[in-house]
Amino acid sequence: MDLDQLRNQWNNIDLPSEAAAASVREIERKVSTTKVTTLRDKLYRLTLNLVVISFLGIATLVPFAVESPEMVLAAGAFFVVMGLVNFYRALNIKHIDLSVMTVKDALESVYNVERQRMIARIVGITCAIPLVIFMIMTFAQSFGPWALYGSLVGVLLGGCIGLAINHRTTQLLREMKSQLNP
Amino acid sequence: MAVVNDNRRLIYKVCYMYATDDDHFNDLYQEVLANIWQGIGSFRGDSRESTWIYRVALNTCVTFFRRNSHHTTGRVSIDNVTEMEAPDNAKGDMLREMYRLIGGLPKMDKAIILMWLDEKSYDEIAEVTGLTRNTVATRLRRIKQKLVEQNNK
Repeated sequence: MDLDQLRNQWNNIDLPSEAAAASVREIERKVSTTKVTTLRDKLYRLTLNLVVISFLGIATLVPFAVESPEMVLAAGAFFVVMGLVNFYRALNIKHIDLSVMTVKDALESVYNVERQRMIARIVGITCAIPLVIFMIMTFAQSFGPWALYGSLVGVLLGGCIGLAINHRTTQLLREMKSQLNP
Repeated sequence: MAVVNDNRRLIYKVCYMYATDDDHFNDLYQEVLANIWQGIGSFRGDSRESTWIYRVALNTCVTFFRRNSHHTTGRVSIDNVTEMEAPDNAKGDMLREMYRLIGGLPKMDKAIILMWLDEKSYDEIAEVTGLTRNTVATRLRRIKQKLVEQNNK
């Protein structure tokens, strides 16, 4: 294979069949006529939503303020920490601009965003476990054993979902890292 | 979108090289166009338009990691993407074969060889990829060697 010779042929390659060209035209029409959001924008919006949810979570604790002020304080602190962590992530996502970055910087930025996401999850899980135990004990004392059973089921389900998501993220990070350092 | 009309072939080739199937190709193509649409205001003309398009297209394709697909470095199913039209002769067969071989390269290497095939200078490749000129030259040499070796197997 003579690559230099093939290089001369490179621009002789034409666009494919009519069917594929029609599909390409349809995508172009869609992008130019409707507001298509990029993946970066979707991720930014998702992360901002997490910030809002974190701070809204504080509001859900208000009914328990009188009965269990310690629990409200602990859970409130957790929500504030998670809110700030996600806000920091959202800022980093907003700064990614694929039209001005180099390929290396773009890869590194995306890798950092994904790594921050994983760190946020680890921080969240580490803080959440003692908090959840505390909350379960508080609810069980106030609302009886069924609150305990329901809470335990919720914790198990949440834990399984969290582990599955974490496993996928770890694989993704590994792949991104391999692209940065082949 | 005059800029897309002028550079459609370029965008198509870049997306084609990074896609693993037709759905992936459509996702990539749409994402590249959306990023071009969003970023066109920031293009100040300090580089060639085609170089800027390469930057956006490559950045989009290189950072597009699919969560639901099997994550394997260099895995490619280029046969699943509707084939580009190449001359129906020995040279055309070699071009198709080259596409297959390039499809198996890591993402950054794909970016380098794509720009080289499109007759971009080492400086332009370095500018877009963020690597030094020397690194581009070294990596390009290794990539070409690898492609020839794999073709000879």
